[in-house]
Amino acid sequence: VIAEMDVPASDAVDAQTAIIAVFEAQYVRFCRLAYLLTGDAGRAEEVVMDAFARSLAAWRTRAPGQPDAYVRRAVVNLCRNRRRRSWLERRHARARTEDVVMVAEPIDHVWAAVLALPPRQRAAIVLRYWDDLSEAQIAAALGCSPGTVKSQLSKARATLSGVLGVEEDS
Amino acid sequence: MSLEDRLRQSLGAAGRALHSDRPAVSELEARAHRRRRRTALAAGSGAGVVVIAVAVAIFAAGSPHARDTTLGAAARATSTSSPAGHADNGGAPGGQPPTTAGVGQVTGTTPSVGASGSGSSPPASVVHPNGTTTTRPGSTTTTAPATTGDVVVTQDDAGKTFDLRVGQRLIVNLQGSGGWDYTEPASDDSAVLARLSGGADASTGDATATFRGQAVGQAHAMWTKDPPCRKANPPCMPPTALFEVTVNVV
Repeated sequence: VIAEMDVPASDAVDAQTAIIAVFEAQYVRFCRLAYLLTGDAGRAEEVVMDAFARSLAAWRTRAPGQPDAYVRRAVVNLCRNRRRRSWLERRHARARTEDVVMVAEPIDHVWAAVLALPPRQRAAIVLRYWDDLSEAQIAAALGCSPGTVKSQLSKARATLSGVLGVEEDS
Repeated sequence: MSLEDRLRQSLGAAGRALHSDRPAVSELEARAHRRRRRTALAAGSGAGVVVIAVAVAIFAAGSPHARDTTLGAAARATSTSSPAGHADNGGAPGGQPPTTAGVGQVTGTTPSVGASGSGSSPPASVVHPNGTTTTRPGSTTTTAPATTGDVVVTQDDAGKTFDLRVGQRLIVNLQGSGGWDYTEPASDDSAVLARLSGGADASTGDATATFRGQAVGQAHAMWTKDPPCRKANPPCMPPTALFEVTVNVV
C-alpha cells in the first residue's frame, strides 16, 4: 500500500499513456514476436492482448520506465508459460484418446528448428535475430544476466547448426 | 549463406506472414479494468486456499454430496484467485500490481444472499454454482456532494455513487450481524482511490477501510460477505456476492 501511494498520480497517468502509445505503435510487432515464439497465430494475439492488459493494470501503480521493454518481457514470459501449458494439454489429450490430430501451421524448416529449441534458447534466438536486440536487452527481456544470454545463444546456434547443416559465423 | 543470415531471413519472412489488426484502445482499457477488479477481489486469496483445504479434508472424509458441493466451490474460488483466468502466473515483470487488502473470497448462502444479512442493499453481482454470473442492472445512484470532510458509507450504500475530491477520504464501515462476516473493502484502482488502512474483525463480522481520493477518475470500493453457514462443519458453498460503491474522484 505504501508503494502504491509513493507513486504520484501524474506518473500513473503518464505510465498509462505510455503503455497505450506502445499498444498503438507496436501491437502488430509484438504479435509477430509472440507468433515466432509460439508458432500459433491465434495464441500470439491472445498473449499480446493479455500482456498489454497486465502491463496497463500494473502500471497504474508503478512509476514509468521503458514501457516497450516492459511489455516485451511480459509477452516473452506469457509465451513461455502458454507453451508449457499447451504441451501439458496435448499430453493429457493424448492420454485420453489415441487418434488426436494435431494441425500445425505451415512453417519453414529453419523456423521449425527454432521452435524446437528449449524456450529460453528459442526466445534468445528470436530476440537476437528477428528483433535485433543486444545481449543486454535480451537479458532484460528474459530476466537473466547477459552472460546467460551469451551462453544460451551459443548453445542454440550450435544446435541449429547441427540440425540445419550450416556452419556458424565465427 | 551463414546460419545467422538464414535465421534473419527465415524469421523475418515468418514474422511478416502474420497479419493482425490491432484492437481498439477501449478494448484494451476494458480488459485492463476487468483485470484490476479481479485482482482486487482475489487479493489476500487466503480464503480460496482455505476452501481448497476444506475440500481436500471433506474428500478424505468421503461424503459424496459434501464432496461435490465443496469441490464446486473450491473450483470457483480457484478461478477467482487466478486474475486472468489462467493457470499460469506469467506476465509482466513484477507480476501482479500491488493490491489493497481484502481478507478473502466470500460467498452467501443462497442466490438471494444480497437481500439478506445485515445489509439491505443487493449485491452488485452473484456468481452461481453453475458458473454463471448475475449482474444487477441499474444500480441505485446517489451522488453525495463533494465536501472537504470525510465521506462515510455503510453496507446500505452498496450500489450508490459518491463524489470525492482529490485528497478527501472515504470511510467504509460495515457492520456484521446475524453471523454474517464482511471482508475488508478493497479498491479496484488504487491510482484513483488509494486505500490508507482497514481491517476485518472475525469475531463480530465487522470490516472497515479508509480510502483517499488519489487522482481524478472513477474507481470502486468493493467488498463481499460470508453467510453464517460458512462457519458450519462442513461449510456451505453458496454463490459469491460482490458489493461495491462507485467513487468519482473530482
